[in-house]
Amino acid sequence: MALKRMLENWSDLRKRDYYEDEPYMWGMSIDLNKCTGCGSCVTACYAENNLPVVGKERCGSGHAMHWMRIERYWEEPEGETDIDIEQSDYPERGAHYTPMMCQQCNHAPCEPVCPVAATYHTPDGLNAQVYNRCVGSRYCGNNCPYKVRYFNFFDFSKDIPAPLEMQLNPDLSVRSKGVMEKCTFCVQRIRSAKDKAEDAGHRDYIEDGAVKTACQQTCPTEAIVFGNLKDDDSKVKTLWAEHEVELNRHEQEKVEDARGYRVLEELNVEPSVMYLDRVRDTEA
Amino acid sequence: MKQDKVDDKLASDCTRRTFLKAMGLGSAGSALVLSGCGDTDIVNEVDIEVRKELVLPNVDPQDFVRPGVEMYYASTCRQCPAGCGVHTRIREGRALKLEGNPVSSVNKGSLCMMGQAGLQGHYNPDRLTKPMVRKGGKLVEVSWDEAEDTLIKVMGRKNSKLAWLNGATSGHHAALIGAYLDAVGSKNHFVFDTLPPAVGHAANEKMFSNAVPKLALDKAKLIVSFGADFLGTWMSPVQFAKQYADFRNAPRGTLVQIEPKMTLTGANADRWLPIRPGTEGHLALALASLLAQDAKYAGRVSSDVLASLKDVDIEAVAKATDISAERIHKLHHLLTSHAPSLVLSGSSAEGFEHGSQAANAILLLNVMLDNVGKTILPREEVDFPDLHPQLGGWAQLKSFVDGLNHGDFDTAVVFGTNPIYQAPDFMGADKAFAKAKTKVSFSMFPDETTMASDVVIPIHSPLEEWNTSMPAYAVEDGQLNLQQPVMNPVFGDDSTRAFGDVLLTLLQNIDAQFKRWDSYQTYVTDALLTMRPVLVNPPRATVPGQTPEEGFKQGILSTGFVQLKSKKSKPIVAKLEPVDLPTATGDDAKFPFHLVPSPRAGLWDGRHANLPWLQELPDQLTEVVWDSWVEMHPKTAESMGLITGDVVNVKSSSGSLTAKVVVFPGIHKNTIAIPLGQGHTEYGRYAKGIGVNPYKILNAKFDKQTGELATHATQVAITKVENRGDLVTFAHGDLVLESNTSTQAGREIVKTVTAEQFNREEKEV
Amino acid sequence: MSDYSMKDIEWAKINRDVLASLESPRKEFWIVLSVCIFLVLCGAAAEVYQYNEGLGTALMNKPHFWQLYISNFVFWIGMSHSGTLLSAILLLTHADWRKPIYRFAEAMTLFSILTAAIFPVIHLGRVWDMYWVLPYPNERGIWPNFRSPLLWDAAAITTYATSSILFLYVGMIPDLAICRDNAKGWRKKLYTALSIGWMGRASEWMAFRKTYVLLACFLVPLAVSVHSIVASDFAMSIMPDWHITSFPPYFVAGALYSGCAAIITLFVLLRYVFKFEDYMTTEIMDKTAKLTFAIAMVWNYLNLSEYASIWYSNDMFEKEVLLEKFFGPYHWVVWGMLLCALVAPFAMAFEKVRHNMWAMFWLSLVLQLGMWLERFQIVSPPLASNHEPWTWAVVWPGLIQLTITVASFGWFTMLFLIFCKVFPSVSMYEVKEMVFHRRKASSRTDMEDLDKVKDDMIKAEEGLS
Repeated sequence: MALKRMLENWSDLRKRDYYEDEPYMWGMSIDLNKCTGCGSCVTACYAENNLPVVGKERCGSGHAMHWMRIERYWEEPEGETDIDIEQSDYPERGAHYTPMMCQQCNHAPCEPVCPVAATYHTPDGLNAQVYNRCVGSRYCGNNCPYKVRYFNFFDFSKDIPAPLEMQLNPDLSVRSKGVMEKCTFCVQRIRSAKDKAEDAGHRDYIEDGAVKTACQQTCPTEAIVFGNLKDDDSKVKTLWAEHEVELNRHEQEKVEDARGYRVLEELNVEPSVMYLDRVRDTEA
Repeated sequence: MKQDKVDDKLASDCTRRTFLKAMGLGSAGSALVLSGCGDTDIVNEVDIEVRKELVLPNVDPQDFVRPGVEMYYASTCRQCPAGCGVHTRIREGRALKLEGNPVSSVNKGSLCMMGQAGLQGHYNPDRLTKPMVRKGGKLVEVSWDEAEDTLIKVMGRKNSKLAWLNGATSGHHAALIGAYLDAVGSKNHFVFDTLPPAVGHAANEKMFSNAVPKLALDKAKLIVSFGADFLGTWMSPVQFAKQYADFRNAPRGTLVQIEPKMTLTGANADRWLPIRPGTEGHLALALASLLAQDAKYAGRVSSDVLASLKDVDIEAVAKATDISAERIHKLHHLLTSHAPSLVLSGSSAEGFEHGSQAANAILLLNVMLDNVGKTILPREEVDFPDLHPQLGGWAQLKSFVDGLNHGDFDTAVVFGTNPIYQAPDFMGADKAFAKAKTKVSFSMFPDETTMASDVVIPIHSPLEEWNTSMPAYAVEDGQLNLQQPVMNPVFGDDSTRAFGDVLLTLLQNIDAQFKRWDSYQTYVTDALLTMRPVLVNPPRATVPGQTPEEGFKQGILSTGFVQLKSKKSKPIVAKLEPVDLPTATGDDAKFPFHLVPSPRAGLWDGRHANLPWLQELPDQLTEVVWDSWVEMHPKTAESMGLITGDVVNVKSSSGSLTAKVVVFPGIHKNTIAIPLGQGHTEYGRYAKGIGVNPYKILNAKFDKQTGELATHATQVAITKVENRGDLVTFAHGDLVLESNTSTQAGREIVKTVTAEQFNREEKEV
Repeated sequence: MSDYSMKDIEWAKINRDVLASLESPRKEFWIVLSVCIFLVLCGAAAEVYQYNEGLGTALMNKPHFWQLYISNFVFWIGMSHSGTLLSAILLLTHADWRKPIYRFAEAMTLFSILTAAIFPVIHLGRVWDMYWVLPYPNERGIWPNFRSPLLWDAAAITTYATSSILFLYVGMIPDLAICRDNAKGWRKKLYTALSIGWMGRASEWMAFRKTYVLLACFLVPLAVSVHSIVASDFAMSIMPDWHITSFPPYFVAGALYSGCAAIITLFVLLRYVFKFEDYMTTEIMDKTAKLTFAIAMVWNYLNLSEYASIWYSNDMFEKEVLLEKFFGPYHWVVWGMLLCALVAPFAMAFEKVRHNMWAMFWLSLVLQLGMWLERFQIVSPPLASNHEPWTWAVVWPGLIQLTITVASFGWFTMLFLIFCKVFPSVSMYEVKEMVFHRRKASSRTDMEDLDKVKDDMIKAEEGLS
C-alpha cells in the first residue's frame, strides 16, 4: 500500500516547490544602483536583533556578529564586467558595495548538515535557526557559501553593561555561548504581522509593506525591498518579475539588459535575495 | 526641581510682547499675527502621549503599559543637526528601537546609522547621573540641591562677563538660551559645531542671499560635487540620500565627485577624480573659462567676472590640480550636455585660506549653467528667527577662546559641544578654558570639556525630554520638530534633568516672568499652543469630549512636528564677484603631504565615539573598526616602504601624532587622510584612549573671508615608527592585509552595467 | 627463506618473555607515564578554560569554524585503522606474519578511537547537549537529522569503538588465561574475571576461532565505512576542495597509511623496550614496510588524481583553493605534507632502510607528521579561501588548540603504556601457533605448495581439538 502510494505521489515528492499551497514565500530585492554602502542597515540590525558588540580585539580575531555586513570591493570580477576597466592608479569608478546577509536559500546547504536539525526550512521560505536546539557543531557555518552564519564563540551577552541591556528587544532571545545565529529576515516582525493579520480576520494575507525588515526600514535610499514572493502584487514580486529572476529555476535565463541576479547562483542553492546590478555611467 | 506655582499676578503683568519673546516667538518684524494669549493654561493631565507618569519595566505594570504590546512615539533624532523625525518603539516602558518617521519631510521614514545608535547614547553606561562640583581640584558628586544652589550662585545673576558656548541648536533650546543671555545681560553667545559647512554657507549667502538654499538633487541630471559628501556627512545625509535615490532612477543622473580623499559619496560616483588639495577652485575656474567660450554661458555673468576668466590656462590648471587637460575638457563636455545640473562645494574644497574664493568659483558654475532656480532654490520666509537653527563655526569658537584668553569672561558655560576635544592644539582651548573662574557644563557624558569644568550638570537624553528643534537643512521650510519623553529617565527621577528645566529655573531666579511656567514642558507646550494660528493644518480634536487643546496636543505629538506657515520668497538673483584665487603653490619640501581630516558617517565629528554600535560599524571605505588610521595611496606607501598596519608619525608644524597606516587606493598620492572621531582622552569606556584626533595638529590657518579654520590646509611629514600594529579591518582578512585591495576573485558578487543599459532596461519595464 | 627464522623459539620462553613485559615497570616507565599524565592535565585545563570562556579562546572564527579539533579527529580515526587492518584484514588473508604485532596494533586502534572521540565533543559549542546527536527515544518525538554526516559519524564511531573493544578483548582471552595462571594479587582477580573461565578446551578453541573470524569479517567493512563517513563530513559539504568524490577512498587509504606508520613506530619501540627481538623480527618489519609502501602509493595516486581533477575541471572555486594551497599562506603545510607523505615513503623501496629498525622508526615519524599535516591542510585552507572572498582570512590554531592536540598524544600514550603493563602486548598463543607452523613447515621437504602446508596446519589445528 505504502509503496503504491509512494509511486502515485512520486512526482509530488520530487517537486521543487514543496510548499506550493503556502500563502507566503518571503523574498528580498537589493538594488545596488541605489545602495550607497553607508551601513545604516548594519546598525539597524544590531538594534533590532540584539546583536552583541564584541570589541576591537574580537573583531580582529574574526568574532564580529554583524548579521548584515557591507562588503566593499575595489575591482570588477574579471571578464564579467560591462564596463571597460580603465588603467588608473585610482578607483575612479568608486567602490563596489553590497549588503550581505543570510540569503534564505531554498536549497540551503546549511540545513541538511546540521546533526540535530537545529536549522530547517519553514513553509514560508525562511531558513530558520532554532537556538535552543543548536549544539554548536558549526557544520552549517562551514557549508554556507555566503559565510553569513555567526557563531557565539563567547558569552557576549555577559559583557553588556547596565543599563545598555534595557535596549534589548524582548521579541527575540539573547543568544548564549555556543550557538549559531544568522539573519532571520526579522522573523519576529513577520510573526507579529501574521498575528495582526489573523486578528483582523485574514489568515492567508498580509498586506504588502506590513512587514518591513529592520534594514529595509532604515535604508536611506530604499535600496532594500522585502515582501511576499507569492503575492503577485507585492513590490518585491514585481521587481523579481521585471528583472527576470525566478525561484525554482536551476539557472536563470540570461536576458539581455536584465539587471537581476542572485549571488553565487551557480551553486544552485536557490537564494531568496535578488540583487540588481550596480550601475556606472561610462560617459562620465 | 522645585515646581514653582504659576504666579497669577506675574502672568497678568506679562505684556504680550515680552511673553512671546520669552517663548522664542518674537517676530522679525513681519506679518504673522498670533492670537490666543489667554489659552495658555495647560493642565498636566495624565495622558499616554504626554507621558508624565512614571513608567517602569516592572512586573506590576501601570494601567497604560500593556505587557507585550508595543507602542510607537514620535520624536526627533538629535544625533546630528539634520533633525530627522523618529518613531520610538516602546515596550514595557523601555525604548527599544528608533525608526524613521515616514511623514517627516527630512527623512521620510529612513534613518542613518547614527540615528539608529541614538538608543546607545540614551542607555549609555557612561552617562553622567549625578551633578558634580569641583572641590579641591577634583570633581565630586553632589546632591541636586547643592548643585542648584551652586548654579544659582554662578549663573543666576546679572553677569555681562558670562560666556556661553553651545553646539548647533535651534527651536526652544535656542530661544531659551537667548532669553537667558538677555536676562543675565551677556552678549557673549558662541555657537560651535564642527561639521556644518560655515564657509559654504557664507559663500551661498553672499552669492544667492540664502545661506542654505534648497538643493534639488533629484531634479539634476548631473551633479558635480567638489568634496561635498552629501551621502555621508554633509548637512542632512538622509535627506540627500533620499534625493540621491530619485536622482539615480531612470533616466539616471550622473555624479562626478572631485576630492582628494574618497568619501562615501565619492565611492558612489560615476567618476571620482582625485584632485590636489586646495586646487578645487582653480579647476572650477578652468571649467568656467571653458564655459565662457560659449556666449550662451558667458551671457549669464557680468563682464568683470568674465574678464577674470580670460587668462586661465587649462594646461597650467591641469598641472596644478593633477587632473589631465583631457579630463577637464570631458568635464566641460559633461556640464554642457546635461541640464539642469548641480555643482556643489563641500568641506574639502572650502577648508583653505582661500576657501571662500574656491566656493565662490564653484558656485559660479551654477550661475553659468543656469541651475539657479532649477536645482538651487530659494528658502521661504519663516517667522520666529529665535527658533531658527544656529549652526555656528570655528570662527565663533576662536572668538570664545580669544575672549577667555583676554580675560573677558569670568564664567564659561558649555552645552552640547566639546571644544577642548575639537580645537586644534594651537588654539590652546584647554588652557584658555582653565582661565575662566567658573566653568559650567551641561552634558550627558563625561567628555573632555565636561571633565575640565567646575560645575557639571547631567542632563536628560533627547529621548527623555521635551523640546523642539528645526532641521539644519530643511526640506520644507518652517518644519518645527518636536521631542517628547518616550520613557521615564533611564537613571531614575533623581539623577538627570532636562536642560530646559534647569535653565528655566535659573531664568526664574533672574526674571520673574518665567515663573509662569513650572517646567520646560509647559513652556514648550504653551509656546506650541500659542503658535496654533500660524501653523499649517493644526490638528483638531478627533475624539468626542476632547478639548481643542487636547486634540491639538495629541495631534502634534503623534505627528512629531508642526509646520509653520511660510511665505514664498523672491527668486534668487545671483550676486557675482570676480574670483580671486592665489596661484597654486607646489608641495612643501619639509611637509610633503596634505592632511585631510575626514569626517565619517558614524562617528561624525567624534560625538558618537562612545556608542559601541558605531565604533563597531566599519568605516565605509577602509573597513577599519575601533581605531584611527592614516590613509595613504598604494604607490606612496610603496615608495615609503609602508604596509597596512605600520605605525607612522604624522608631523605638522604645529604638532604630531601617531597612527597606523591603511593603504587605500581612493586618495590623492600627495595626500593623507586621518578620520575624525577618535582620540578622546575622556568620554567613557568606549571612546577613551582610542586613536587620535587629526584636528589637534592643524596649523593656524584661517579662511581669509570668514575667519573659519582652514581644516584642510595643513601639510604634514610622515616617518615610520614601527612595524605592523594591531589594526583591525574587515576588508579581506589577513590574506591581503598588505594591500587592503579587495577583489571579487572572479565571483560575481557585485556586477556592474552601464547607465545606458540601465536606462534601456528600466524603460522596458 | 627467512620465514622460518622463528621456529626455534621455545614455547615456555614465549610465555616468560611476554609475561616479563607485564612486570615491575622500570623508572623510565613512570617518568614517561607521568609526563603523559601531565600533558593530559594540561589538556584538561585548556578544555576547562575553553568550556568556561567559549570556543573563541581556541581562536577559531568565521570562516574557520572548524580547525585543529577536526583535523586531529580525522588523524586519530585514521590511526585506528591500523589495528583493524593487521588483525582483521590480514587474518582473513592468512598473512601469518601479523601475529606478533597485531595485539598492540589492536590496542592502538582502541586507544586512537578513544582519543578521536574526544575531539568532536570538545569541538561542540554546547558540549552539555552533545547527546542530542544520538537518536535516543524522547517523549517530544524530536529526532536528530539523519541527513547529516555528523550524525553518521556519531553512529559509526560508537559502533567502531564497541566492535574494536570486543575484537581486542575476544582475541586476548586465551592470553588472559595464561596471565591468570601466572599472576598474583589484584592481577589474579582481574585476569580471572576477564578470562571468563578459559580452560583451553577444544570446544572453547572452536567457539573462539569462529567468533574471532566472524568479528573480523564484521570489522573490515566497518573500518572502511567509518573512514568513508569521516570523509563524507567533508565530501558531503559544498565547500570548494571538500566536495570531492574521491574523498572516501582517499581517506581510507590515508587512514591505513598513517595507521601503518604508527605501527612501525610502536613496533620499534616495543621491540627495544621489551626486548622482543625474537618475535618482532626484521622479516616482519620488512613486510610491514612493504605493506606501508603499497598503501602510500595508493594514497599518492588518489592525492595526485585529486589535484589533476581539480585542475582540469577548471572550476573557479576549487582552483582558487588549490592555488592558495600551494602558494598561499598555508603553502608550507602543503609542501611539508607532500615532502613527508609523498616523497619520504620512497625510502621504503630500499631493503637497507626496511631492515634498519631505527631508520624505520624515524621514517615512520616523518610519515605520521606528513599525514597530520595532510589532515590540517584538508580542513583549513579551503575555509580560508571559501566561496565568499570578503570573508577570506588566515587563522592559525591558538594555544588552546595546540595544548589539547599535544594532550591528545599524551592521552593516547598514557592509555597505551597502561595497557602494556596490564595486558600482554604480544599475543602469546598466536606466536606459539606461528612458531609451531614454522617448525612444521621447515621440517617438510615439499615446500613449494604453501597452500597445502597451510591446509595441513589448519587440519592439524582442528585435530588438536
